[in-house]
Amino acid sequence: MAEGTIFLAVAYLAMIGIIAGWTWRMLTRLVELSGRLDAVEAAMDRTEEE
Amino acid sequence: MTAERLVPPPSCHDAVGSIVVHPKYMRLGVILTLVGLALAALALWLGFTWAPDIKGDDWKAPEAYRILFFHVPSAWASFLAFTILFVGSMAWFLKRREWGWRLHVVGAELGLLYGLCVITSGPIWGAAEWGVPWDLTDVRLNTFALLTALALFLVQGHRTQAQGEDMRDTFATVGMFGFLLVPLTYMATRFWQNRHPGPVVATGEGSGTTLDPAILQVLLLSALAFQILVIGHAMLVWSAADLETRLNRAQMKLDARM
Repeated sequence: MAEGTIFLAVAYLAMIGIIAGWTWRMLTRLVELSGRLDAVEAAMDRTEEE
Repeated sequence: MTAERLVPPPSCHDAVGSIVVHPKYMRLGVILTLVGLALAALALWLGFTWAPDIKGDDWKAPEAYRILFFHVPSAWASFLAFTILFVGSMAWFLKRREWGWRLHVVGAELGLLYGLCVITSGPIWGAAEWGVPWDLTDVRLNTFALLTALALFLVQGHRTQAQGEDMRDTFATVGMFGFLLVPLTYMATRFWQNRHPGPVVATGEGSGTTLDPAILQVLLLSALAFQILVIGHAMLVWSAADLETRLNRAQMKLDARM
């Protein structure tokens, strides 16, 4: 009984970890890319003004 | 093919010449992802508190059956991802559509993500119920492992190989023919059932299911959550690819001015 529950807990920890980790990594990447794009576009605007 | 044909038509270009994903689609992707996660969490809670225990001498570890509330929807989600991979690969290979390549990349990423969930949880349940995590003579286990390995090969290939038409053609071909494993995997337990349990929904007999109604309802809620999650995740991957393209082109334009 207890052994099956441990297997169940390990399986859910693994699946939740995979999905949550991947989602977090993707959201972080989107924020980082948006920030870098904004910075490059701002630099382009500055070079146009000059 | 010239380099120009790799670029989408002007109607969907922004100032730096990439496919435009309106920010509202990225927000929609985030919202769908959060809704999918919330519904999956609800299904999991119901699966542990509302779905009944299973009884019978046939089960060695009956309490471990609750793995199916994420394991089966993950498998169905991976099939949707592999379908996206197939459509994208076809669109790239036959029509040279840039959006087709994007779909190919999205399908491979998500096929790997959900495939990993399945081949992680499956052997854990196998260890509890069968006493062994894997059976090399079971067709379903092996074809699904091959599918996940194919997604891993594609994702690694996309990251390490230089972008070019030949590279895209090669990976699109793998994506198209690899999709043959999806119907084979789906039908495997009907034709060659060994260790892996047979179908529990759409069995083709009687009411179409062998499950207790409460278990079936939780399973279907979880399946809905995972399908929403796949769409949300697909929009996030698409948005990230779009931002990367725009960033690279803006950087090149800026470098040219300096």
